[in-house]
Amino acid sequence: MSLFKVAINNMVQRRLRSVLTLVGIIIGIAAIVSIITISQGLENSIESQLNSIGSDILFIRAKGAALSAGLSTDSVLNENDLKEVERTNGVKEVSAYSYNSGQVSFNGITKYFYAAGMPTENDRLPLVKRATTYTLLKGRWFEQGDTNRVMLNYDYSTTKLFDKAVEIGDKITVEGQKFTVIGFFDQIGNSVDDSLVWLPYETYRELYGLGDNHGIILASVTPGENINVVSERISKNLCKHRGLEEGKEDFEVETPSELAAGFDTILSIVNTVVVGLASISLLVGSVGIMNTMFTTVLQRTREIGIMKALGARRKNILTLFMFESGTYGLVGGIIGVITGLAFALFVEAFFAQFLGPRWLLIEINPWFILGALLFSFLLGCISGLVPAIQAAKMDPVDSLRYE
Amino acid sequence: MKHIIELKNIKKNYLMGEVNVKVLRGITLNINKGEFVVIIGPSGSGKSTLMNMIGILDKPSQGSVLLNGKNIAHLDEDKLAILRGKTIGFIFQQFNLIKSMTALENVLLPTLFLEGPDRKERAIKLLTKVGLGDRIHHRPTELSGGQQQRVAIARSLINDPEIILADEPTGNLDSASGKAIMQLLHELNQKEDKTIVLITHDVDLITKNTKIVKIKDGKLAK
Repeated sequence: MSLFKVAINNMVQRRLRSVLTLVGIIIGIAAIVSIITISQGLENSIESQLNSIGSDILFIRAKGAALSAGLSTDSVLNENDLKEVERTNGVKEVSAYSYNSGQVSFNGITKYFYAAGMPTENDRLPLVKRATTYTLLKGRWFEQGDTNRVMLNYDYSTTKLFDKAVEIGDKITVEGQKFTVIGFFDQIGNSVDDSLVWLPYETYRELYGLGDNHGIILASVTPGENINVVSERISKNLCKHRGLEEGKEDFEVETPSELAAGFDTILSIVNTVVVGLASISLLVGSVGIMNTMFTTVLQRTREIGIMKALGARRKNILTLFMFESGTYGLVGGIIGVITGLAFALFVEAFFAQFLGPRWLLIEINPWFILGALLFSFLLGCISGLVPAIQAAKMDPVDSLRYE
Repeated sequence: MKHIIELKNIKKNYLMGEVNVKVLRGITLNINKGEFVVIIGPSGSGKSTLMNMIGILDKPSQGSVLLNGKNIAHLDEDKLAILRGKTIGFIFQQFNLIKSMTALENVLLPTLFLEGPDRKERAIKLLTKVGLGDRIHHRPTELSGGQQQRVAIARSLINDPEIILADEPTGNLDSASGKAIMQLLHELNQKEDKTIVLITHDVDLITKNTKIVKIKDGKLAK
């Protein structure tokens, strides 16, 4: 038998009070564990996607044109701008593509998705291939000279979009024009990408009356050049070319790491808010443990007196009650960690179900779990410190007489 | 003969509100090793306070308490606790068992506060000796008053103390159980040479082989 067993004994005797005491700690730890695990999972996912894009590609687009690809805003980029980018020192290859919402009909049903134009020229296709990170599921990629051909993203190969899965060689109508399906891309994990229709760029331009405008210009950087320096140069050259003052750009040059930084900022704000709220819950939980321990100490005054008469030192009594409150913290921590991880895995499954498989990559970090458990044990100990000191200081004669 | 306990003119005052109550008014008492001492007195005579002094649960306001010739005045609370745990076994009127623990766990409780070997076997032996060999996993609520007091006696013996200090040990028991408990105490005194200090108001507990100390109004009465 040990003091630890004595402490556990006492807690089991008062199950309901023990459970109520734990609620605050459980909520706090569960919230922290789930949010940190989820946000780490999002970071993993973003990182893995950005890694596959490659860190040498710059994205240049008209300002405020994230989704409409520059077509609905005043500023647009065109072939001349692309040539200007190509002339910039440190740029290796350039390419461009565009996308816009499009009417897609198949098997007698019409729906609206995004349609995009992909260059088929040998000097422009490879860079777009790299930037999209698409891999071919079946069929073939575009080739120079393709006109009435279409490549489809993953969801068309399933029955998700239309009643019938589209097959290679099927005819599909985009913006009123018929195309033959030549290839499918593998699943990306988000519904926008996975429902895209890709047309040869020339055909797309005619269909949308694009002239020589571009939605997004891509530039790869010569090996050995600093991507941020090249980005600055492009920005400067384009300003001069478009007759703009520096600092008043109507376009953006983005590097993959800037895209990631944007996400990281949002994630860290969300993290801070949730951890802040969870801290309040932990504080409430801590006060709850303290309150329970004060009650326990008072109710067991006579037991404390008995133990002191039987030879217990202040240290023994202190240890006994600290063990008890530490165990409250630890048990709360264990339940909280399990709840938090379960919630994170539920969210991962939810994302996978509705958005696609690569959005959230949950990894369970054993050190983080261990840290959370240690933290909750220590929080319990600290919460019980003052009541335990009070118990240890009790006078043996007075506490023996306590009824 | 060697004095195991010496009380030298001890006085104890309590402040009750603004009134200074003199509970013990100068008691000198020597107890020898192996004696069976019955301290007897009416309620309010200062018996319990005297027990606290002998049991080194409290220190006197004046005078000195010597345990095995050693003055306890200079020991702090923790040193007193260690000394108490090793030297004195307590038996109380209310039994004072821990309700959430089994008989065996209660007997082992004093060993948790001292470093030493595992005493589980000894605890089982002691429980068997007091006639509870088949009740070691019962909790106090599942035992009769007499049985609870036997558990308390086993507990008082676990650290093999020289002195057993019993405060009204039969006060909450029927006369048959009370007699059996007294029998046990006499056996411990005679067979194991334990020094027994028994505090009571019950004159029926006085038997031969006991040294009687009468206390009245905080003083020893002749």
